[in-house]
Amino acid sequence: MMSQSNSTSLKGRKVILHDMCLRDGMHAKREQISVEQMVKVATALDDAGVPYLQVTHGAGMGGNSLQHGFAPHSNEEYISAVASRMKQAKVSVLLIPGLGTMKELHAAYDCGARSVHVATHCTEADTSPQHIAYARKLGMDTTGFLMMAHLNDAEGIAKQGKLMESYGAQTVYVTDSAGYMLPEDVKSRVGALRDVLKPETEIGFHGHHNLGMGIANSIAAIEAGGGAASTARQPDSVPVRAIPRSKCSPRCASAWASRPESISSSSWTWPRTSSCR
Amino acid sequence: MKKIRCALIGSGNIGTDLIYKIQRSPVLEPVWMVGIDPASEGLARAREMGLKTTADGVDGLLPHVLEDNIQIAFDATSAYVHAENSRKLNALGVMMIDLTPAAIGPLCVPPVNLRQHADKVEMNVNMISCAGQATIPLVYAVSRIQSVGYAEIVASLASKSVGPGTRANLDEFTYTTSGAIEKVGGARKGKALAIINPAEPPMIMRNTISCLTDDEPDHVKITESILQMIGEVQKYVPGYRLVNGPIYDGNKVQVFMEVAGLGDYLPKYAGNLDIMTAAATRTAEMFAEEILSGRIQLKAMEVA
Repeated sequence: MMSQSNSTSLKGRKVILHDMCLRDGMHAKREQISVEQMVKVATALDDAGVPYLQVTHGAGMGGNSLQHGFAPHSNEEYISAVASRMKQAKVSVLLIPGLGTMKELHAAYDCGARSVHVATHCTEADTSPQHIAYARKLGMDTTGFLMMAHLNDAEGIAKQGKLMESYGAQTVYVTDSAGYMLPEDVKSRVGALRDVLKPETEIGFHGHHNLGMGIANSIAAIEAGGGAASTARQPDSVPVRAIPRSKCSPRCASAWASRPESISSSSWTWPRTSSCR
Repeated sequence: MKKIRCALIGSGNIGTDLIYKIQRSPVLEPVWMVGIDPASEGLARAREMGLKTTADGVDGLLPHVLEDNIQIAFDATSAYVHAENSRKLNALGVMMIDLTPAAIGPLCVPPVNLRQHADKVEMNVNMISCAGQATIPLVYAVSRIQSVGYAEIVASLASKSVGPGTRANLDEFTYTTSGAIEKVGGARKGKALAIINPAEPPMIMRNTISCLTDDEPDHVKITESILQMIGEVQKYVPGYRLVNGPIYDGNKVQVFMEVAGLGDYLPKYAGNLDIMTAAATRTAEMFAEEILSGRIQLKAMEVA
């Protein structure tokens, strides 16, 4: 019965896959992925048809720090190396206000980044207006990224998402940073966003696979109208962004197929402070 | 005893907390509160506390500056309007304490460089940011012992203590604080991170200060310098406390500390608010003492 209803509600839904291996996956590698590894994985993702891939330090713009660890290269070096090799994929970056700045976003743009996730804790969307507006001014594909989304209820997420939309965000993400949510939690939040956001605003879901629910949650998100989905294995993740119903066309993407084995390292240690996003 | 009469510009969290601090000062007296919204809670509270108020911005204050003998003004508005406020008030001989990230004047951290600003009779000094006031004294405590190539601070603030102005302009906070870690703290490169934490009950302001020294750090001298500096800050912010450290790891020196406020306007967790208003009050008091003793005299500035 259930599979019947799922297959109906998922049918014809267009999903945009936004790969996170090279950004969130940096945490798993203690921020130590080399430029060569980045380019190798990114070109494979590009060849496979993945439309967006995120490339920065795990904590995004400004992430290189004693607090979050130093990567062997600057964000500019990674972005330039990857962006110059893309045939069709757009390179995106993460920007957390309070850590990254508009100056760093501009530098990323100059290196070829054309999409950005402006990320705040799920109750602090009002720290993002200048960064979202600046990204739009640069002409970037601009997403408001509500992290730790399990710490706000559906109504609260809807309000915070509406704020980000009002600043200019073209997509709003429900981000299960802690890998806490179950499919019903995802559905209620994505559904609440779909009810309040403009029809042309896209909704995304970024999951983590702590409880083994990454794929199920992603499918639930797609199903929840707006329907986004994502899959993720802790600590990295592969979010999928969904298109509003009105724009649906058949397409399917496998998130798992795009994750390189090199990322799922067992030598992973939790940073001193949680930097998982 | 004679007191120096002050105006407060901006009726939000900082402006309101300043009223309490200034009212307790033996050398300062709050006289005017300037806002822009006649219905604002801050202006109503200021009136209840006996201040004169205007909702017409700084232009509403200007006609009263001379007759009310206002000599020091605290600006807690935004970086964007501060320059104009400062120009208009400096022209009337009013010294400005800038609590916005505008930083037109020299950056001031009282235990590090207040004395030299007072000696020069600066007509505009900038208080950097709450994170700057809390952490730069400790960066300086390391750099005065030996050279620091990189200093990084992480300030964690209770969500309820961070007002709409700071939220809308987080980058200005980052730029101003990072720059001040270099200019005042003495590190060759500075970086500031802010974390706004919505945990309930609200968390007390917590700061992590990390310095990378060029050479092997002298544990004994640096520890002594840091403890001495904490004592200096405690003179005007009693809730400024060491939680852990200094911890040494190779050339890295780390200090973990917290700041409890006095609970004047916002509850005690908002140490970030207190350290800013207490530093601004301390700065104004130093100038006031100099004016009252006749050692310095404020002069109207020529307007370019």
